[in-house]
Amino acid sequence: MKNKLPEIKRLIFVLRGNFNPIIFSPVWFASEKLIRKEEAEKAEIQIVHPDVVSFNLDWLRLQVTRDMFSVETIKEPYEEVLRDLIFATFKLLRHTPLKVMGINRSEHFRIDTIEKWHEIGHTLAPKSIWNNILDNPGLNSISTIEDSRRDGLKGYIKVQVEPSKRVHPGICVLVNDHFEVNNPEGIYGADEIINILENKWEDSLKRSNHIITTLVEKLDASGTK
Amino acid sequence: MPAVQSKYDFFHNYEDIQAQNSTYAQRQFLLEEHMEKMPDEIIKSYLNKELEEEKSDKIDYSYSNNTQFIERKKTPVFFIESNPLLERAISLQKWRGIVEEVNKNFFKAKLINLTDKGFDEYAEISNDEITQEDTELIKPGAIFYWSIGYSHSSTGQRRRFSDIRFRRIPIWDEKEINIARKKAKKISSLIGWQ
Repeated sequence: MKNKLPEIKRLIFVLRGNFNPIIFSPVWFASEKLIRKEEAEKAEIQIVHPDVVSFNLDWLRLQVTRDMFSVETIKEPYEEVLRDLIFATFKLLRHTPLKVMGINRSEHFRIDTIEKWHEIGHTLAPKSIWNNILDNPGLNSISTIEDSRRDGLKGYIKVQVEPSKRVHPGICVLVNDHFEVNNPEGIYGADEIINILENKWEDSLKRSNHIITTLVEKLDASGTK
Repeated sequence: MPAVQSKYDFFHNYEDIQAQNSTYAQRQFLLEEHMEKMPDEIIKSYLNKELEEEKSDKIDYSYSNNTQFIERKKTPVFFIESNPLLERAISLQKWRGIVEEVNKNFFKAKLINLTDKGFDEYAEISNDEITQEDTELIKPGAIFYWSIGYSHSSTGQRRRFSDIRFRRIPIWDEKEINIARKKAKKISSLIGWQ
């Protein structure tokens, strides 16, 4: 690979639960002093509606529907800021029932040559099984799951690799660090998930970085050079 | 091997929302506007939802050949074409700072290295380095993040940047402080501190 550092590093944070989307407007975030007023004024708003809110700031994209809250950034220096924003939001809205949380890291890597790019696909998914079934088969996406979490929490870790749609030739590696509350039917607030966020955030990011770095190193070393 | 999952089954597969995908939203009020972006069968399924639900009452879901009904009775999820984030950035060095002393034109802070393990550092930072709106946050104990790195604009222009941003979290109320005190007291008694 030309560069083992990613060209794009993205953090996507997703919560599943029950939300009142219209609360999550840039004006609300600014009035609660969670973002700067100037940022709220300059926010690029796609929609603010009782059922769905979607807007971008310079460093963040936020979307909320009745059952999902999602924020993402591709500015890595703002990842701690993003975490604080989520933490602060649900400290204020602590009675929001949160059931599931995903801390998702995706990284796009450029690959030296098309040949090496194909080689990576063949390493991840050998094509011999497809002989006489498909002509010229190519890997579209592959995901691997670690079914039970090592930290004892409910959830799983899933790693997905696919051709990058942003960098060509390149690959996109996504780590989905998935957490669930113990009793989703009996959940009445945000505390359980926010506690996990507070206690596991750093571990999660370190683990994701480790998974991606190790995998990319192995893929780089794989096959003929 | 995990079961094959529908691309539109975001209710159960939120992890599919990632860099590779567009964004999403639900609800009928946007249906017409975005109808062309959804497969016809999902739209029809939603419009005939009551009918499907009536049918589904009589279905035994334990049989795998009923999966199509389970799929079809869900509320559809469709994509909003929201603008992607274009300007990306990667830090070369990142610190978490804690304000220790505030003076008229500058403040002193302890810097904890978030990039590499190392010793804590101390710095005097001019107020001019701080965005006007954040200056009210410069107080002893306040936390900020200082990053130095490169940003890449949508046109590919690479720029060096240095950014200081103060942490914004709601102030703890008296009740929360009391709860924290009680917890601290309990822990200190458990480990035998006076």
